[in-house]
Amino acid sequence: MSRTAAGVTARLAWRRTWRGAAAVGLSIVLVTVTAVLGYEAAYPDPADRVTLARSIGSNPGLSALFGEPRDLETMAGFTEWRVVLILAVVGAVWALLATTRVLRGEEDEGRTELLLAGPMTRTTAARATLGGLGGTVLLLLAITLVGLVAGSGRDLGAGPAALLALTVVGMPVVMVGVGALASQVADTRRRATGLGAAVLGVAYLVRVLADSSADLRWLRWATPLGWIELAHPLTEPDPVPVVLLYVLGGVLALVALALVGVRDTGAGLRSARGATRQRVRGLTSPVGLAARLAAGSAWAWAIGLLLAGGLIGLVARTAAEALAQSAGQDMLGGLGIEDSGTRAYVGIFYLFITIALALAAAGQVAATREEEATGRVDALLVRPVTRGRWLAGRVVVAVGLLALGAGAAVLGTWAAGRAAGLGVGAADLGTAGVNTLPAALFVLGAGTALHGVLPRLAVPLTYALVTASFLLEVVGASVGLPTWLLNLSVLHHVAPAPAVDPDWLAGAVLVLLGLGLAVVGAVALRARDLVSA
Amino acid sequence: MAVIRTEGLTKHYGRSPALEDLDLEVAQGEVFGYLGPNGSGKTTTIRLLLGLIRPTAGRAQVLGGDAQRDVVAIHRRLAYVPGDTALWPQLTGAETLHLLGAVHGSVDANYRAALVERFELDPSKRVRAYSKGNRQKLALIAALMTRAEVLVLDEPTAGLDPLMEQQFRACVREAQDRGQTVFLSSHVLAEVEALCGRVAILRAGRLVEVGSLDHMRLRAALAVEASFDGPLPDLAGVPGVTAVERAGQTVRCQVTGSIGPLLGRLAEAGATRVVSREPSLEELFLTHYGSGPHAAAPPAGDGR
Repeated sequence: MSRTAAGVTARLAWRRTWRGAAAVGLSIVLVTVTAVLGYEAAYPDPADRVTLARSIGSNPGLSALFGEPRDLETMAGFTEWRVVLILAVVGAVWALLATTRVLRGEEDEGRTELLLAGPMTRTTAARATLGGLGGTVLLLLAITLVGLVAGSGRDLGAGPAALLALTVVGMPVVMVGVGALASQVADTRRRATGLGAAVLGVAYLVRVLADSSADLRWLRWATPLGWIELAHPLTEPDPVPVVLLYVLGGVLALVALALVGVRDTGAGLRSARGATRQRVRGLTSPVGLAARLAAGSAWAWAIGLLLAGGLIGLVARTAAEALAQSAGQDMLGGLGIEDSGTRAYVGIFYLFITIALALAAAGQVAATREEEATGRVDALLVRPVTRGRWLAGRVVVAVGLLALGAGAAVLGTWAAGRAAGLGVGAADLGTAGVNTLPAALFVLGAGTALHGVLPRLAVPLTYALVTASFLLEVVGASVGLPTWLLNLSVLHHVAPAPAVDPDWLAGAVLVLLGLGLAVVGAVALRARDLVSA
Repeated sequence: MAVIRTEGLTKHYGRSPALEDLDLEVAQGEVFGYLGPNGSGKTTTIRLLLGLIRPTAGRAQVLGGDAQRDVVAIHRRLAYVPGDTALWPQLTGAETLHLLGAVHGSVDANYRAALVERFELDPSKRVRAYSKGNRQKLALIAALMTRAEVLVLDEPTAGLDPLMEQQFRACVREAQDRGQTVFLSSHVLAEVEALCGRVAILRAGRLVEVGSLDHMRLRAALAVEASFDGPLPDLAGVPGVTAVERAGQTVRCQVTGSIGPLLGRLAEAGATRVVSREPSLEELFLTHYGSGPHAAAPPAGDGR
């Protein structure tokens, strides 16, 4: 009997996650195969490859972002450096969201209780859910393995291609463990996801530190993203770090399972407080409510971006000095950067701040959709509030959150830069901060339009917009994808200020398009039924 | 004056009809019961009245305004309690009441305090920590505290304990005394019988009956039970008689229209005892829900 109940639970987890896994797996294959083919097309001449290798190889800024390059004059080396870490991070984000969804989201909705009322203990249910999730990860691995061996096995060798797949999928495995553990510690899915994202962020920052200086290389062993780098599946295969990834994921999942029995269903180890201080200030209107609901995310993003900005300010000078001695200009020229030194470095890094803000914008679209899907918005709309007013309140608060995040990043870079002698003025940093906003505002507008037109698909499509833009811009530019394809990326229209002057015209167009799309969303929302989850 | 009026109100989801051609009028000051089995279109009707979904055809008017167009004007004078209340888990009860009151515009603060006391709600807790019943109380207080002209209640007592249910009934009666109009969708037939003057019964998206409870009882089949010493009479063919059942020396049936022919036949056969009674709301309800008069409960003991 209990075997049947566990089977049903496992299949449920599988059904709710396999599509995402398939999409991530296909993306990994597509991006890698494109990178392999693109390298040959873009750099047919060995001399070009040597120049490229020299310019990138001596740039600590790019090392910090993508990991330490090696053998860039070979296709294998270039592919490894360009795709492994990024794809591992994309897979990690998917794994975290999927895990907290089936392990914690179901519980938030009270659906888990239906299952637990059956002949099953909580540990059995959690084990079954993780089992279903394991099946999903196997699907991801299978797609990636088959796709990479079939698609690039001839160019890279079947063995290295397979190890590449195992390495990239290792990070999702770790994040399933992290997500499972966070789902036990936190008391809501939102908090569990936040906790997991913080772990991933710290893992990334530790790796950045490790790659920023030769003295800190040992730090790679302290972060799973460092293990991804140490595996070198295409240039100098080392299976030990790869095995470590899978072991860590398994251990974390086992710890999470041990904790399931310790806490109450519906609560976390860190349980919510009962009676609390009443804070009614500002809680008088839909926009006031939106501000209150977004406050937690706003602080989290602001602190994260302050730290990220600070890190940029701290390591920029060292990076800039190294860059000045190198032939880095060639490569930067490819990104449209004529300047050299600190500004170039900050410019590249601020593209990542832009991406973070675009993700924050997508998160706000998701939060708005959640208000509708859960029926909470009904409590406002049955009172004298139009849908337009409600949506406008949400959008205004989201814009505020984005502006706060950009401001925090600038403040971090400025403050840390003063201490480390960055040499980029506050005004230039402020301009760079403003320059990060148009792309995020466009994503917010596009997501709002999607919410109006396709409510149930809006959230995945908005995240897909950001992910596709990210992959197109970061991988596509260096492998010579056609311009029209690159133009589809929102990020392609953002100039890397302060390395170059911001493209204010493109920025204005993005903002206006975003505004227009938001209006489309509002009109569509007015004209349709409210749609539950 | 009709406070709520629908004309040919229809809602289809894709191909499946949720509500078909509903014509309804609720007068000012009325407590109107809205009944129907699960999935019969009650909540669909209410969501149309509130402008949360768009009608496929027809229209709904509330307080003289169009339910779709005049949302703000109507909702200023209306309050609503859903059966399954979704509120923000991170807000406390007091914060929720503060917010919803401010959004509505006008709140009687003293009445709010009185309601919190009557419903025994601890407003200092977060909504996350409330039980279903307590969340329901919060929604009730949020609606009642506005003293809105129209109260739209969709299974408002789901999850309330019997004591709180009593409080709820008292509040509805007070609302009626003040002249407020109440549109009450409910499964609790005792509650509807106790509170409502007029009732509408919905089945599979169609209105099957509307009228005062007294009027419905008059028109509905009368349940008759007769006992005999000798052989039981054959009631087939007696005008108006249906659902004949025999058990031992007793025969049960239902009769609509004139009871004369049936009484004649029973007397002729030498009935020793004849009991008849009006159907309860539950029986009326079951008559409409089931597949016909056979679904009606047979008369049993305590006539009313």
